[in-house]
This record gives sequence, structure tokens and C-alpha cells, in this order.
Amino acid sequence: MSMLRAAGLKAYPVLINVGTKRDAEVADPFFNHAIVGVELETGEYTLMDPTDEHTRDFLPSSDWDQSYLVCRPEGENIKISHVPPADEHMMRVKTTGS
Amino acid sequence: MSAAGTLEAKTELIFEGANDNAYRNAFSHMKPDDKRRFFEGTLKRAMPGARLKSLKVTPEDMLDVASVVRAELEYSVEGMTASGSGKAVVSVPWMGKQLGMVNFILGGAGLEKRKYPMKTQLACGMREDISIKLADGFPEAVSLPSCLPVENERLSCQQTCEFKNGTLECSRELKLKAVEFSPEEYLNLKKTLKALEYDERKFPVLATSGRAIARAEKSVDKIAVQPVESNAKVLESHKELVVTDPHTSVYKMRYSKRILNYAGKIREAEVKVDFNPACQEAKLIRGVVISKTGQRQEIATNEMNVMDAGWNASAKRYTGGKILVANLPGVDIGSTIEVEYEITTRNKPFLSGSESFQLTDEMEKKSFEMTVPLDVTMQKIVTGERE
Repeated sequence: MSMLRAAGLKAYPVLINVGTKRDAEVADPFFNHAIVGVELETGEYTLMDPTDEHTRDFLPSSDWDQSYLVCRPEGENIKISHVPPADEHMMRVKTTGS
Repeated sequence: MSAAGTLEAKTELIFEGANDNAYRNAFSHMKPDDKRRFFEGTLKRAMPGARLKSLKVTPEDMLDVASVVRAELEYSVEGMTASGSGKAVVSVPWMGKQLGMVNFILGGAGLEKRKYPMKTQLACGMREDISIKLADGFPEAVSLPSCLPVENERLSCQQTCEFKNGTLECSRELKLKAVEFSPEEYLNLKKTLKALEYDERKFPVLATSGRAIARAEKSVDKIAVQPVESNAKVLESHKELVVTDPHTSVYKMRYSKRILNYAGKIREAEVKVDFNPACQEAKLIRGVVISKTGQRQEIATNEMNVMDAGWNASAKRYTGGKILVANLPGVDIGSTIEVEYEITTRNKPFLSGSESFQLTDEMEKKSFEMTVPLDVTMQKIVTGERE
């Protein structure tokens, strides 16, 4: 996160709950994982999980469709992490035979 | 593919996105032998009897995330056709059903109906393309599978099969587009999966020329046996099953192993013997560790414990299993362990079991002996003997 900030990006720690979704209407401090979020100009966040050494994506699949809270000094609502389309997560098998 | 049904093929697997993530993680914990066994098993599930000739999994360092995980398999398989009356039913070498997150997720749709939604967490898919050049013995197609495509906002699937210029071209694409299925949507998913399963059982039927089949080669090059990367070398393993009557037996196990690396030290320092306390008793007879310098240490009685099996809490309807855990003293890399234990079984409805001679570690000697009274009926099957 420090490196992202040093590069001029608005980076924040993000608490995420891998498992049951949290109720966005209820103040809730119970999360089980911490990742990083970068605020884009549109106000949306790009989430990235620097703890996963085995992923080529910013956000590994274990963090998809989960409740998260961006830890901003002024507070933030609980959101649900994005699920990328199936086309980006294909298993491709090509067989040629003779 | 020859007219006799021998296929020489090469399959390239590309793991994208979530598939890359999951398989990279798994492969990073596997030794080269483990990877080979994994792909060999996958191949044989798809095509029984297939022989893996070569395997290349990249990147070599799975922590190098600059490139996607890929695997290339070269293999040969016999018996891909069933011929008769001028026709042949051709088995298409579909591999995709055995791999990928989409199959893993859909494999979890076992319930007939659901009270609560099914959550998949992932949107992912599988695309498989197959091109098989057929020998002269197949002049034309008699019938090719036709499959109705499925396309809705949660799932899409299509499968095609064509015979063009002596080549069989098949493709299949399956996409899971949603991450949650309500109980109603789940019923539709089940219907679709049933239709897909039905389509998977359709095979191309091709016309054959009898003379070409007779000419076709009947032998496939023998595959060189690959060296095994072991954690502990089995110096000797002897197992003995003494049957007293159809319900009673004593299973005696004796082995010695040399510890080759740290993984072997961790695994072999604890002897674990699973048994069912409802009808079995387990007893460690001997546990000796001989260090690299020849120093012998015997296991102390306070290093043996009987514990609940790990699965007990998740399967309460069954009689809980037990596990005899014995901690061998001073196990280290280079040391040799000698272990002997026995399991006595009583009042079992019948006695059965299997013994594998193909292990994950290098083995010098292994024997299995069974003693059965003449008045006890016994059946045995020996599989996988080398020709």
C-alpha cells in the first residue's frame, strides 16, 4: 500500500470477509482478511490482494463476490467485490491427433 | 488415428484466470513426479489405457506469474474405436470434463433440489477443440452427434462435431456465467446438466474399410519408465494377512525405509494406523530408528497414543474411527526406520481389501502374503501386471 501511495495512487487498506456476506445495513467489524483497494477517478475501487502469491490477477477468485469495507478515515459503506465475466476465466483444451 | 483405433495425440491445456489461480497453487506444491501422476490420472480417466509419453508444465517456477500456466501432454491410446459391420463408433478424446473450475463447481450440483440458493462464487468456463486426422480406413461419416445449444443468462453450452477431409473436428464450450442459482434456477440448471450428460454419451459413427483395419498397426511404442523422486525409500515392505475364518483376520505389517529428505522426515516420523474400534484392534509391535551413524533408538511406550480419526466430527452417523499414532524417536534425513504393527479384525460381515504395489516412493522390495483356511472361499484379482 505504501508503494502504491508513493506512486501517487489513492490506496487504502480493505477488510474483506471471505465466506458469509455481511449485512451492509449493520455496523460490523467482523472480517477475516485484509487486502488493498485503489480508488479510481470514477470513485470506484480496484481491489488487489498482495498476499496471494499464486495469482496473475489483482484479485484472486477466492476474494470475488465477498463483502468488503474500504478503511477510509471518513468511513465507507460495505460493498460486494466484483465477479469478472466467465470469458476471462476459461480453461482451454486443444487436442490434435493423428 | 489408425483404422485399428490407435490414437497418437497431443493436448495443450491453458489455464486462464481463476483456473490459473487454482492450478498454479496446487502445482506449486507438487514435485515433478506428482505432476506427472496428476496428469497421467487425468488422462486415464478421460481415456482408459492411455499412455503418457511426455509432459511439459510451464512455468517451471509457479511463482513466476508473468505467464499463464500451461501443460502439454503427448500420449497414445489404443481402442478408440469399436468396429463391426463396416462401421466404427469413435471415442472422442474429450479431456475437458476432467479439469477446470467449471467442472469442479458443477460437480457440486449433486442435490436434486435445493431449499437455499447454490452459490458458486466464480464465473468461469471451458473451451475444448479437438482435431483428429483419421487414417484412410474411414472414408465417410455415417452419423455425427447433434447437440442442442443452451444459452441463457446463467449458463451457456454448445457442442459440435464434423467430419471434413478425413479429419474429425469436435468442439465444446461451457460457460458458467452466474455466481448464484436460486432454488428455481437450480432446477433448470439440473435439467441442463442432465441434457449435457446425455449429449456426452453421443459418439460419431464412421464408415470403415475392412482391409485398412487389417493393415493397421497393432503395436504402440513402449513408454520408458520415469525415475521416481522419493521422500523416503522403501527398503523392504512385507505384509501378511492371516485369515482364521470368514470374519476374523490378523493383518501384519513390517517395513523399513530410509529417509531421503525433509518431507520424508515429517511424514515418516509419525506412524499412523487407522482402524475401526467396532471390530478392530491395532497394536504397534516394534518401532526402531537407526541413525546415519548406526545408533539404534526404540520407541518408548509413552510415545504411542490412540486418537479419534479426523473425519469423526463430520460423519457422526458412522461409528467413529480411531487412529494409533506412534512418534518415532530421532528420525532425521539419512536415518532408517523399522516399523512393525498388526491389526486384528473380528466379527466383520466379510473380509476384503486391496494391496498396491505402485507407491509414491522408490521401492526395493515388497511382498504380500495371505494365509486362508481351505474351507474359506476366497476371490482375488491381480491387476496391472507388466506384460
